[in-house]
Amino acid sequence: MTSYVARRLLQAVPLLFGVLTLVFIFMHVAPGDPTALYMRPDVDPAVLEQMRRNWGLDQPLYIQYFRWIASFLTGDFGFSLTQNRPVSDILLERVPNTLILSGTSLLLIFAIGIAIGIVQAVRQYSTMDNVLTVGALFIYSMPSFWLGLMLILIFAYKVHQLDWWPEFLKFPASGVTSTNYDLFGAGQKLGDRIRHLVLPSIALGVSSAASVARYMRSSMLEVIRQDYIRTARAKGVPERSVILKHALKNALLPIITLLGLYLPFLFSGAVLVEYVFSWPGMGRTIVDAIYQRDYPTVMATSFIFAALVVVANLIADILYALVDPRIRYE
Amino acid sequence: MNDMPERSGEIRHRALRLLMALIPGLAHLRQGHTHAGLSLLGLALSMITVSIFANERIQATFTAGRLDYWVALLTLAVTLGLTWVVSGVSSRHRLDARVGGSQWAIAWLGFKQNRVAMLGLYLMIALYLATLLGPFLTGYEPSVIGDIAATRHLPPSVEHLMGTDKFGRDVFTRVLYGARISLSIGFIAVTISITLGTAIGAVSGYFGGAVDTVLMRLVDTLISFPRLVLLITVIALFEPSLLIVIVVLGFTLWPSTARIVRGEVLSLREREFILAARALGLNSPRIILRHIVPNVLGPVIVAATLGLGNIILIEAGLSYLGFSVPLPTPTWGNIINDGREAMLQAWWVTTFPGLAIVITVVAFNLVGDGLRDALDPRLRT
Repeated sequence: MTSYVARRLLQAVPLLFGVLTLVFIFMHVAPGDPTALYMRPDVDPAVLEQMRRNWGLDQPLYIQYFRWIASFLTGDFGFSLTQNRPVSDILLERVPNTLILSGTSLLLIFAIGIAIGIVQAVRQYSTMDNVLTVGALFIYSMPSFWLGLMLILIFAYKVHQLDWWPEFLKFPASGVTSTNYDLFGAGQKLGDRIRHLVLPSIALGVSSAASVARYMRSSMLEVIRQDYIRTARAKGVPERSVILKHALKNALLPIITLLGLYLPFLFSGAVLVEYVFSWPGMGRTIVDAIYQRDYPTVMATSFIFAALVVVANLIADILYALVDPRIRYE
Repeated sequence: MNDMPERSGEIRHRALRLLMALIPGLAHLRQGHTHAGLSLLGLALSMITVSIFANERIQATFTAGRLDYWVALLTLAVTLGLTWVVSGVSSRHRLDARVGGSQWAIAWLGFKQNRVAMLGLYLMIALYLATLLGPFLTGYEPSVIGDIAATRHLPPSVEHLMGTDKFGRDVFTRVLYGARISLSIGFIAVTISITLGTAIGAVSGYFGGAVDTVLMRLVDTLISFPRLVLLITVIALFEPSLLIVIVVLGFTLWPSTARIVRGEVLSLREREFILAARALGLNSPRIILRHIVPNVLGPVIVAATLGLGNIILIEAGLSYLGFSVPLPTPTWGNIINDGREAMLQAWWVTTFPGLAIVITVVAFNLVGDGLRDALDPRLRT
């Protein structure tokens, strides 16, 4: 097991360097350099030149490259051109929000997807199975940002016109917390946060849940056909525990690999969903930074996104090896 | 006197043949191919309906001097002509693929029996036709702003099928013209990324060794970036325009295809016919192009169709954020963004373009799934 983990770690390192190199290339293609922040009529061009020299921007490219990598690896992502503070400060504030949103979505995706997949597999070719398959196809084909807008339209606005609609099913349209959040008690604070999470995490997760359901269905069907399941049934194990105990464990194995696969997809969606729900996460940050041509922030955020994906893949692989011993000795 | 029945029979026979030549699909219907017959007949009828209703606009083609009018007219004529030709040819020579048909003919037969996939195919054809015929299907212009006070935020009605937006423009017209951008960007970008992906995957899998390592590390790196993040990061370096969006989409989405192709090539490489080709002394480019690529075409076509749906979703997201084709050109994404601020008063502006996206992507996914079932010999019994 240790050697497997070590091997996977060693594979992740060059990947991170690849990501860094790519971001460095983007950074150099981008117009302007860090001194753009100080480029004003009242600043002498000679001063700018001096700044360039101080920051090492006059050095050969490869020296800049290694310095840049060293600074990125130590968490120094440069200075934001518009917010007048280090990019790392901005990211420290924003990354947790994205992780909360994506994490909630991920939970939702797997919980809903696995449950639906099991139901479909157990009742293969029933009306229920067909309805769910068609429904999944439509949901899978929906743009997440549009779904988000529709959810806002219905559950944040239109339901207020209905008298009989229960109060707890009306959700806020944007933000992480309400404006009077600071006045709440601890329990209320948590509730407020959860209420704000509902719509964005559904918008973000529902399409992936549809595709998890699809994988789960076929994985479950494959397992159900195996001999050991027939044995379990033959010795009189109740159907419920045949499915939920004997079959589920093995059917879940291939689903774990999806965990790593869905994260980049989820982050892509997060860029749009955060924009729709004014959710102050990394997606919102990168979009705003592009509007304002704040390249250091853009590049650092896109690096963090990629680094998170690499780490998540690593975790998914290790998890898979933990639950499936066959992988370790491959 | 007694040859009357015979003669009337002959007249009837001739009349029928004339009718069958005149009305596309009738021959198929008589032969019992209801499916093919009805679709040909339906296609011809819908084209004729369009030409009757768009009579004025068709005449305007010759004076307006606009390219999209000419494209629409050409589409109308070609489609109408094709229904007759196809109807005439295919009713006489129906190929029987079960006996000695090619790989593709067998796949087509399998695809045809998949009713859901055929539904997707019809939807896809209808979408492309609607896009090409755009100017004839609507009486409005997509970007011309009229009397705002009178036409602003009108709800859907017979006159404005999908209502009007904040500038009083007809949303149906904008969605129709937006389809053009979405479908053509999708088509070109998929062509670029599939070609690149196939080439790189084939080279990587065939040569192996250092080439493979370098290329696959590049693929791993590109895949580590969430797609949309990579796209907006690259697009941020340029001014967004139609060309930039197509090029960036095409050049960033190839890695997944390359991975699929490489996997296929790795197993093909060890097969006898490739060894034979090598033993014959064929050079590598020839082996790759003539012997490897044709054998991976199946999965590549499936990836392309499913990729088209995906790219349409991605482009919608990009133009929703304003990183795609600039305004006032309508795209599905930017119409949705346009309607966002007034969503409460005018829900139709955001809702309908989204539905158009969903239907389009569903169509491509249905066709893609059908193609996978039809092209994958492992699934065929």
